[in-house]
Order: sequence, then structure tokens, then C-alpha cells
Amino acid sequence: MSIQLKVNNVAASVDVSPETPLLWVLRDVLHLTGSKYSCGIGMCGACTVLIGGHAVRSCMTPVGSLGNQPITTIEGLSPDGLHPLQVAWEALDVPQCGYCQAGQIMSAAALLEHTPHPTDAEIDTAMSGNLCRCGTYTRIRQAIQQAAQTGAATPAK
Amino acid sequence: MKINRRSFLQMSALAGGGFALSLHCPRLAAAQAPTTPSDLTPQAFIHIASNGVVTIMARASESGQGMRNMLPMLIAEELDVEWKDVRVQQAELNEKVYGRQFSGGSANTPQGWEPMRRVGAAGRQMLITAAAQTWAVPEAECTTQPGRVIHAASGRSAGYGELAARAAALPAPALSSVKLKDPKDYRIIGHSQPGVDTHAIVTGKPLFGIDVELPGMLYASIEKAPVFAGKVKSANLEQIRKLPSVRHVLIIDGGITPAALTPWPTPGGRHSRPANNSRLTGISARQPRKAPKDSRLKRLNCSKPRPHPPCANTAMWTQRSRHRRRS
Repeated sequence: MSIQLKVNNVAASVDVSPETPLLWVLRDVLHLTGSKYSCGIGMCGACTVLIGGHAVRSCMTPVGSLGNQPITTIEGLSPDGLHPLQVAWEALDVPQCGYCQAGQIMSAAALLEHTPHPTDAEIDTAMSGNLCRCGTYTRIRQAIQQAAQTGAATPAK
Repeated sequence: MKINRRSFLQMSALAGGGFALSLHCPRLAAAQAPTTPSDLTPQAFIHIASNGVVTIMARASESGQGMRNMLPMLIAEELDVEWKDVRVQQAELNEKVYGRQFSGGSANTPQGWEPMRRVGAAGRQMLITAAAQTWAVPEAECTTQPGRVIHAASGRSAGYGELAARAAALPAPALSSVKLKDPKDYRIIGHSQPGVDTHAIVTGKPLFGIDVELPGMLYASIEKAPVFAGKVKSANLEQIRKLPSVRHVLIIDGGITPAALTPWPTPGGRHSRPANNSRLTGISARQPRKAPKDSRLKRLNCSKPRPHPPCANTAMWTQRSRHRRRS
């Protein structure tokens, strides 16, 4: 069965069963491997993408449930890798191993889209579903604050 | 495409004229030479293009502690180049050529500290020799500044890129013979450098083992028996074999392991299946009659912390731990 998707502003037609999790369509069919498989049960956030501007765990989102909502992955967050969050992430050298970071950045993008100037408490609440085993949480919070100051208003669409 | 060291060398050569220090690698590999730190050679680790861009091999894998920065930084320091001119490339797995390539136990810095610096210093020495031969001056009169060999007496200097081809034709000096910098002169070591992979990470580039695709690759994972330390009595193997992408399914100690063309719905994505999908859960198992001697059961029952799980199983282990805590 063919399913129509709009991923990073590009129309895609994928031939998979509607119950297939979006993550595996992104990674295995569309070869967008920035979104990561980790827990597979929506508890770690490594697979986070934006669906209609909201942070969603793609590992447990059936691809057939999306309708025509636009999907944004880390690869499509900005055309040039210069989204304020990506710039801040690099400036503060946030990642260590990096495996969770695409999910972290996508959750942060959703946060800033709805709350352009979050408090630390709002950041902690919004990011609490994204785990980082390296423990980069303090730099993540700093980077979100920095991005909020430097022009977070850029919509992540 | 798969890049092994030989094809990397060929590509480098095709890319145009400049490559140098890695010329001797294939012969080295064929000779099955080095196994001890003193046998490492700069040719294996350093590649200098004619435009002066330096590629340094990171011999150990990255798992978040900065190995892909640290090990090349040690070489770059003694080679005497600007860190911004350095590109880091992962070395293929060949401990005869690269020495210890395992990452773990906080051992890479102490074990790489001197050998990697000596590799860099030997590379610098070869470039000095090449310059001295070119100018017909004594090596002792030549010094380096980052990326250049200088002969102050005659006012001559040459970039490493210009000297690389000649340097590559020289025999490597014994690592024990090269002189190391005084630590007070360090320009790279001891100075924080940005992560070499940070840009790739924040833009979602393929970087991790799970991102690798090879022709004909299958995805395998383990479906454990539903009771702890259980042995498989039976499993719905025939049913699993009929799934569209599945190529093999095997009974292993304590579970089954399907291998499939796609990561879902079997390996890798096995946890992602809808809760009511029992396609992969048809394992019936029997409890072991007594605790296995290998003490895994004892560890669970005592209050000591469990040992760190092997990396490959981390995701599964984490999930299983959560289930246990909940129940």
C-alpha cells in the first residue's frame, strides 16, 4: 500500500504497511538516518521528529496515522545546518557521543516554536522526555537559552 | 562505499598528486609488521595533501569520550600543524598497523599518550629531512612552524604539502629516536578543541554503526525467552519465516534470533511492534531447574550493582530493566 508523506518539505510516496513506525520509514525507506532508534517504546526521545510542529516519538507513531501533516527531521531543520539551535549546539559543543542529540534538538525546536523565550524550568519540563546517557543536560539547557536569545523565532518547518 | 585503507590510498592518489606520507602503507600491512607501540609508523597515521590539508587517523572508536579528538590531537601537536587544518578519519581495524584500537577502561589516553606523540614527531622529522635534502642544508638547521619547515639561515621555508611527496619516499625514523616537544610549548594538547563530529551530529549525518548500510545486509536481534534464564522449548519459527523480509530465524541459548532484510518488524524494530502483535512472541520456555552456575541469576538477587552490559545490548538491557522495576 502506498502512503503519501511530506518530509522536510519534500513529497514522498512509500510502499509500506500503515502500521510501520514512522522511524523505520524515515531511516530504512527514505534513508534519513539522523533520527535514531534507541528504546523503541517512546521512553528515551532519540527518535523525536516534528509532526505539524509538535515533537513526536517516531518509533511508535504508525506511518499510516499521519494524514497530510508535515514531518520535519533533523536533516530538514534548516537548509544549511544553521538553525539557531544547531548554531548554539555547535558553539557550546553540546554533544558527547551524539546518539540522542538529534532527538534533543528536535524537542528543543518544538519548545522554541511554542515558547520562544523559555525559563530553565520550562526547558527542563519540555526536555524531560529526552534522555542523554552522556549527561549533557546542562549544556543542552544552555544551548536552548542561547538559541532563544539569538533568534529562536525562526520557525522550524 | 566501503573504504578500507588500500582504497583510501587509491582514492587519495586519484584525487591529485599531493598525497604522500601514506605511500608505504600497503607494504607495511603486507609485512605484518608492528604489534608494539614502538613499531608504529607515521605513514599509517598521517596523510598530507599537496594543499597542506592533513588527515590523521583516529585509531580507536568513539563512544563519547572524545577519542576522535584526543588521539589525533596528540599526533597533530608533535607533527606541528594547525588543528584547523587537520581532518580526522577513522582507521580501519588492523591492530598490526595501528596498535591498540579498543576504547574502554579509560585506557586510550595513557596508552596513546607517548606512542601517538612519537608518531607525530616522526612525521615531522621526515618532513624536515625532505626539506633539508631539497635545500642541501643540514637537518639540524631546520625547524618547523605549524605546517611549514623553516631554514632560518637562508630564509627559506616550505609548506608540508609541498614536502609531502618527498617525505613519503623516506624511511621512517625509529619512534624511540625522535625528540618530543617540551610540554610548555604545547599549542593543541591542553587546549579545548571543538568535537570533530559535532557538526555532523547536529545536522543528522550518518555517523553511527546503526547508520551503516552494506549490500545484502541483514538485521538481527535477540528475542529473549519470556522467563529469566529460560531455555527455548518451542517457538513459532515457521510463522516468523513467512514474514515478508525475514531470511533466517535461529534458536539460540535463551531465545531466538530472527535476521531480516529490513529492521522492522523484526530485529532492531522488534520493540516497535503494536502491543497486540504477537508475531514474534511465540516462544514458550521452560525454567531452568536450578540457578545457572554462571551467576547471572545470583547477581539479580543480590544487592550488588549489575555489571555494565555489553554495548551492543544496551538498548535491550535498559528496556528490560525498566520492565523489572515496574513489575
